[in-house]
Amino acid sequence: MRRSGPMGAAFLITAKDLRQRLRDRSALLVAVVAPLALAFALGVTISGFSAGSRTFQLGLVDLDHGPAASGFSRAAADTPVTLQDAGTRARARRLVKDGKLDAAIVLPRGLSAATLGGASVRIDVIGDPKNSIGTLVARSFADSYASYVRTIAVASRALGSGSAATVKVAGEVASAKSPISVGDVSTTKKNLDPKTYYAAAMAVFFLFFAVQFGISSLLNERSDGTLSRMLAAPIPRRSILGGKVMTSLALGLTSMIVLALTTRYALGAHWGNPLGAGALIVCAVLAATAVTALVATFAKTAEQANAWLSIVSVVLGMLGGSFFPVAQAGGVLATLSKLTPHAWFLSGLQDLSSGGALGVIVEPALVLLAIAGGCGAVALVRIRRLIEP
Amino acid sequence: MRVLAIVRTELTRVFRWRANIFFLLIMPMGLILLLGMAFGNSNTRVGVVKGESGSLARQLVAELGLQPGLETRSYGNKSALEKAVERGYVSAGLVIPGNYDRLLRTGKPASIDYFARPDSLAPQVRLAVEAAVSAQGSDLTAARIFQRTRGGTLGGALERVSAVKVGSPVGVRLLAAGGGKYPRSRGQFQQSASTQLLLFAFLSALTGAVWLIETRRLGVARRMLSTPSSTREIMLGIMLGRWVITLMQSLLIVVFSWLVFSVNWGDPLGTGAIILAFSLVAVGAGLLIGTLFASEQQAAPVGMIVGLTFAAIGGSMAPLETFPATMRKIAHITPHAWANDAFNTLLVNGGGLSSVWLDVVVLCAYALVLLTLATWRLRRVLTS
Repeated sequence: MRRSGPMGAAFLITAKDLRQRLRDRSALLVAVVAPLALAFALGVTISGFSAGSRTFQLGLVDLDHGPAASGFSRAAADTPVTLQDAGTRARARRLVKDGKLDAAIVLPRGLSAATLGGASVRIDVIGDPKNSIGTLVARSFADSYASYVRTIAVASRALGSGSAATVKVAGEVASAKSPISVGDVSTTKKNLDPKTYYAAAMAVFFLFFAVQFGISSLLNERSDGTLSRMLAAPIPRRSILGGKVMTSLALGLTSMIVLALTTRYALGAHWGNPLGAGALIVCAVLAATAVTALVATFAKTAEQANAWLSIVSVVLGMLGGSFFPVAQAGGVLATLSKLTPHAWFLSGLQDLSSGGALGVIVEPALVLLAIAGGCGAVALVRIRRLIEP
Repeated sequence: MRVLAIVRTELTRVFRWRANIFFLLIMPMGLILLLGMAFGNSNTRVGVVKGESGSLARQLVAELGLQPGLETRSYGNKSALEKAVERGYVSAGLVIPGNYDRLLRTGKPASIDYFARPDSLAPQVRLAVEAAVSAQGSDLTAARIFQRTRGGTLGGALERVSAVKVGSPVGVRLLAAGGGKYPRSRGQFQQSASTQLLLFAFLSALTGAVWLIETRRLGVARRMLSTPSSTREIMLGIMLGRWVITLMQSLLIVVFSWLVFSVNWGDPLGTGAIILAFSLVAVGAGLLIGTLFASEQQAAPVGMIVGLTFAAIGGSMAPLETFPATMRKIAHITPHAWANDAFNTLLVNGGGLSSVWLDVVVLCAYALVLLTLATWRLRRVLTS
């Protein structure tokens, strides 16, 4: 059945646009392939498949040949650190430099004696500045040992006793349970993994490109001369506009839904309550369509529109935290971030996927709708100049 | 020279389009600024809820702040901190219980809740927290031993122990594996400058594929072929044109970031070699994409996808050293990883050209393969 009237014409235009975009595959690339590829790349590199289980290989150079080395090995038991004998100092340096070890710790001669009140010594931590994390891990590890030795020194000094007593104190310190324990409760937290973040971040980043195939294609129609032909046909202008808006909405919604489902099932991203995620997606698509429509009304040619839209989409995406959690910086950047639809969409989704009730999306959804309404209204006032031959 | 005329035309076409200035220059500089501001001090942030904030709790927080590479942020309550960890504003969270001081001062054990994002920084933070805790635990354990031996109250013992001003008989010193002192932390914009240079040089060269397609679509290529210039001259002109644009962009980023953000670019020979080799790789990849696709609508998104994905995998978005080991190996499929490695050697360890020659050779090999493929394709699409 062929629909007629203004709505029918609008649908025809939408259908024509969608066919065109599907045929040259550009929509597929921008709306699906690009965000998926990037969500995968960022999810894998930044979060890693098993980042939580990363262990650090530290080399141990034992010049002390006393009980200190075994104390070190004991201390490594419950930490993400694996100690291995690195032989000599020179060999340890080479292994660290070649990246075979994350860092190395040199236990100096006299370390065990220093523990029991002997002369002061120094533990050397050999690190590669390129592997600053490994170096810091080794450093913290050595620092903890230094604190342990300090405990013995402080207790013996306070007691004011001789060397025989120091040995006894050392024994007590070694067997003393730490008064402060650090309980890792990370696993009991709702797992808000970077995978979900980047899936959503890339989806909303490329959403701004996907919706450009709608309104801003009016400029292409004009330069190709097809707009004049549409205007010459018995089609009301609002049908042309309606058709273009529907193209944007259809592409945006399809893109977001396909991405949500694909990342959910293929990457294991948590989008949270489907109803809430759906509502946020609809609001984000409306906001993206309105923002791009507004930008397009300022352009004179299709090339100009493309350039400005790319700039606006990239800047908003960067500030909105699509690539880096910008809000981490605090201050001006965090405030600027709040001006972007991306930031609101992402924070709403994060609250939702960390197990929040539906209520958590009210504020971000309203802000997105306000952006859509505000930009949409101004765009509507200015849009007549786009629908002119 | 006909080749130079083609180069000049390419340059004119690119710079006549103003938006290119934004993408080639303003955008990378903006990101260097943004990333430098957000992550430049390279400290890992740990959020803390201090509870009732007794002196021991405050001391622990101060001790945490003293840990190298760590920085603390205060949060009012646990749920605010949880949210901050989830959103990645801080890497880990510590909740010091409200009765922390009371427990410890009465000789009871205290437990601190710790939670972290499941990312690769987590182990480092965890060990730094342990180090801070053991530093504080030092006095407490000593006081307990004192009390057990001499009797009296734990409070008295703590006072007695705190009066002992003695450092640890064991010091810790950092040494660089390459010899010499371990370098101090780098400038705020140091890391982002070299990674973003690579990201944008590659990305712009790839999205530049669109210009090659336009050259064909508008018939510029056909008109060039109808002149007495040989195909070889035209191809050389197109390639040189793209290379000059990429080099100009890189040079401007280097100069501007040096002037505006005082970024140190290390040994000029080494940096020059990396940039020359990497820009050839980028140009080769861009030309290849430009010859593999028929329309701008296809080439532009493909260029963006490949450009951004390679940057992400190759360590231009998150530093390679934070990657899990397997991922770091996979990363070296991309030219970015080799170039990032080379820049690290040069800028972090202060090496020269001789220390990065292997990376540069690998980049040249990439360039050779890509440019050969691109030349072969280019000849076909220009003459068919």
